[in-house]
Amino acid sequence: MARLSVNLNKIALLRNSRRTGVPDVLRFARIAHDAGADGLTVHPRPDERHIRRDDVFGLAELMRPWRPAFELNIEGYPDSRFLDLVGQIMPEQCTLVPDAPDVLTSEEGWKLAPDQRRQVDPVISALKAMGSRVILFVDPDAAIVERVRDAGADGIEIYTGSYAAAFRAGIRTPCCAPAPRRLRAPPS
Amino acid sequence: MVNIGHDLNLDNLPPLIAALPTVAEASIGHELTADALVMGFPEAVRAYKAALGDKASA
Repeated sequence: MARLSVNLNKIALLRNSRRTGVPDVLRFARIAHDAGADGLTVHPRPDERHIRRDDVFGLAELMRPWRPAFELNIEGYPDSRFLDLVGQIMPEQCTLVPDAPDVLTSEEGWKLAPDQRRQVDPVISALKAMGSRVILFVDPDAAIVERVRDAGADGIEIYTGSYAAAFRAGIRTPCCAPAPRRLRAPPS
Repeated sequence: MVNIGHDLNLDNLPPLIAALPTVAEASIGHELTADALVMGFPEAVRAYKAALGDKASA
């Protein structure tokens, strides 16, 4: 059965709209755990628009008694800031995204052309040496998926936004084939 | 290992899981949080677990 990793970014986004600390991200982490989730996902972007660097340390501390069965998945663009954070937190899983820092949300996966391979291959090795499982965020494209194994990653996260957009449009094909461009959802 | 994520919700998740039964993990935030505004956060977590096939949460 597929595990559920609850992403807390939107709780943090609401929290960040005031300076009161409400809602408390850690409180919702505990609720997710107690309600039966299998882990948590956070995506600490450089501008800290939702999850902040300090949140990740707080979550790691809260989750200490529950890990590793209850996993922490840290998503992010593999820059030096991300690698430093991961090195300190040692999450069970890292999901690498190719986002530029200013994108609204992750809507495009790794293509793993030679330039990206040169960027991502050493990062994968470094993260695996730290003990994290390494997942690459990819578009639902079989040609790209074939390249993931060569890159040394442990797996993929398939971008399902195009599937969801097609589903909203009434196309009930239960697959991850990319939707036509016009069906792509606006950034969330 | 195959994970899935982005815009998954209680409607589109069950048919996707039925088609891809070997999916290891779904990471869900936006839609789960939106559902939680209606049903509460614990119940939303349980509903998504059920949508992933967890009969204990159904």
